Amino acid sequence: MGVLYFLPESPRWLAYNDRQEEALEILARINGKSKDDIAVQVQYREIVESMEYEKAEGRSLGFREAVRTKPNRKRLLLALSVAPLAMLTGSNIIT
Amino acid sequence: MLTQAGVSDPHTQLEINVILSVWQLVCAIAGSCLAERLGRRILALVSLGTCSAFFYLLAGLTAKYGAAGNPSGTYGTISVIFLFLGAYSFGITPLTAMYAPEVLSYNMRATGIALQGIAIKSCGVLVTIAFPYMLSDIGWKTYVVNASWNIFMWLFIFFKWVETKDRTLEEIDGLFDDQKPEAGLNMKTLKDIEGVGVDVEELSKSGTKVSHGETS
Repeated sequence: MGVLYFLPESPRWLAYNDRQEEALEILARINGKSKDDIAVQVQYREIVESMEYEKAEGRSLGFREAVRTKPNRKRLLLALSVAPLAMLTGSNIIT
Repeated sequence: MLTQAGVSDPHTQLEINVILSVWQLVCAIAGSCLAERLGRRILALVSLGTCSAFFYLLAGLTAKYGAAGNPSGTYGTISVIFLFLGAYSFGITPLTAMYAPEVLSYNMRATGIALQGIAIKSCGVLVTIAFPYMLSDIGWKTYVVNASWNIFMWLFIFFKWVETKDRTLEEIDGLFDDQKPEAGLNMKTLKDIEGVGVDVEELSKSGTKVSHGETS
């Protein structure tokens, strides 16, 4: 909890909440560069465009939408594969 | 577990468990720090591979020295337990927290993490309920079964996992489908042209070419 205080705000969250200027500042800080830096600018643009797209597309997907398209199924499969990796590799038997 | 290895004194068991926890903490921290440098796939494959190898060793040692009361055998078994859990904590512990949020896109992250939680707990229930029976019935062979299962996991990761190292969340999204908006340039090509010297004005023009495709 104490550490949280020192972490910068998420640039994606800021962009999502229409606080673009702050988002850009934080991105520059995370990258250790200035706001005019090309790398920072490109990252910033990617974030803002993705956010606009996601806002237009609707917010969170429920379970059904999450398994409807192929890319999403693959994402979910990879995320879920972490579960047996963490629990069924043997560390639970050994300890 | 320690009883199977031949350590029956509760005090010694407690001592070993305390040291094990500390050891796992150290390995997990080291692994977390190296995750970005090594890459997620390498970390998972190395960690899973080595811990499976130690698992087979553990099966052999338990089979040979488990009940015999041979102190060298017992020490050997315990050291393999340390090595196994070290390998596990080094890669798999950090990846458990890291990998899912990285591969899930923003709009399905909440659902995906919730499902991952369910999956983790379900696997936990399976382990807690099934393995004690397995251990009491087939003993050390349980380890062989589990270590062999790990080989399947290893192959799955090798063929299916995508690398998320050095990529922004938007670039990771692009690995799964190209219908999502991507800026015309990614960071890699950017570094190439940066050396040549492109002015920001021009970049902003090319960067705004975005295709908003339908996801269906």
